[in-house]
Amino acid sequence: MKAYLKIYKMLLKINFSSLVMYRSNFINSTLSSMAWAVFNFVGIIILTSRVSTVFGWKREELIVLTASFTILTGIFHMLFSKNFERIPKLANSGDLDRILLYPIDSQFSVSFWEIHYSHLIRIPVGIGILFYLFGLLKISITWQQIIMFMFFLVVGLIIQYCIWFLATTITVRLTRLSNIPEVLYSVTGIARYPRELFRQLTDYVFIFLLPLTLIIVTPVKVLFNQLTLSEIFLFFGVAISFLYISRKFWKYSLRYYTSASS
Amino acid sequence: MKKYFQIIKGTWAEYMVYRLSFVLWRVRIVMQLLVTYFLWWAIFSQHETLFGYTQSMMLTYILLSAVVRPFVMGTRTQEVGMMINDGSLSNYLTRPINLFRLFWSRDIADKSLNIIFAIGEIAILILLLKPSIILQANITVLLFTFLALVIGVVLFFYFSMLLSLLGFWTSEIWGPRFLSFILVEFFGGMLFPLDILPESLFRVSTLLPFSYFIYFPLKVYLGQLSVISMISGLGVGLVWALGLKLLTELLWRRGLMVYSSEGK
Repeated sequence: MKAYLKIYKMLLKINFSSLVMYRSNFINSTLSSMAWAVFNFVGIIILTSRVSTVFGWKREELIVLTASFTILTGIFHMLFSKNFERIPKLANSGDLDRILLYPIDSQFSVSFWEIHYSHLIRIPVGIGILFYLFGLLKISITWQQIIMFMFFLVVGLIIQYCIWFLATTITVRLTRLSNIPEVLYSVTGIARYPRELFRQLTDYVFIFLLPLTLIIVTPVKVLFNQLTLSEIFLFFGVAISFLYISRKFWKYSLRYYTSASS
Repeated sequence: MKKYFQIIKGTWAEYMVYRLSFVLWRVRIVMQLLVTYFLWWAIFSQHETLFGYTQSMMLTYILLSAVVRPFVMGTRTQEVGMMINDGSLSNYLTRPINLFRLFWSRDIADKSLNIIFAIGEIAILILLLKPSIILQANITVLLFTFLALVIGVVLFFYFSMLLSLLGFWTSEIWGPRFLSFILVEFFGGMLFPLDILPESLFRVSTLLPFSYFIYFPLKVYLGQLSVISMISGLGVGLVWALGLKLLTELLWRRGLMVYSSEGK
């Protein structure tokens, strides 16, 4: 564990150096990332400007949902998404060979190698709006709620990580499915909407989407004291099982990895 | 002409090789559409009319945007930027082929395939969800809608090409493209009709060319514009299209002067 922390510290440094090297790219990405966050808020504010509730969620709750989604997406895209974009390329080009030869865990290598600091900007944007809203609406939240919210957000991050990892692992066997990360970018976007919205779809689709709908909704419910015990069990159950399944699936898929031209 | 038809056929064949990827792409689009659809459906379940739209008008707008989007914005021109950056553009410059026509052909292939799927998907969704949608029967309005769509297609082609041509001067073309994608998503009217925006934002959106991608053609289709507004809208769109065409061609000529493909 200590060795992995040391490697990760080194990776943080290396990735920071590349940020300094490609400054204009960093500025571009940061601007884009900020614009994405701002337009998300403007969108939800406009959509809910004439209604008091949508699927039983009050307007301010929906905006908090968007703010929390912005924070989580900021962390996720900074730490993981570029790595997941890399997996299909590694499998397709045969470069995964090199990673498998490293004397460290292959899941660690493919998941944590690249860090994109440009997405960091979304975190203060999300937190700022969250605090602004709570101040504006005079909603008092305790430190206990904030800590619980952060903890649940980390668990949500784990679920999102597992979903992306499970999906991109498919490309180890089906190398032609190179656009899986692009699809995931859109599909995980549904996490910012109330779960009740997806109840309108068939039960099969709803069950399929259920893990995604838990990622943000559950931590936000902590802030509004609306979380039930069954929802807590479901949330942690999904996180633990997805963590286990994604690990097993990675190990299983590697057995079928044939490399390129070998 | 024959060679460009071969390019269309070749692009279709390319998509068929990556069938599963294409299907996955469509799944993504349907998911996005369903989320927007149900969001608006829920919002309208509490009101008869909102922002000057009835539920059927809004749901028609959302469903048809799924067809208009691939028609107007289905493009392969983003590849030009990558071709400039990795030097593979040289392969095309030495061939007896016009790069703009080549990409028009590729776009036609992309648009046609995506539209076929989009129409199929919308038909299934209409059968399943049974929304009350507006079927426009006025020939004049349909003609104006068609013209608005054509202008949108031309405008988007040159807009996307323009972004790619930045590759002549910088290797970092991803940032401007992503930023423009966010602006287009918002000011193009993909999530909602632009006239529901606050007055000041709506005014800004009408000054930009993005409103001609989705909003203007659908607004014309819904029959919410007078003949004068439709004609003036088409006129402004045409000016934008012409302006962007001239600017793109200018950038192309200037870009070729500074283009170098080391090691190619």
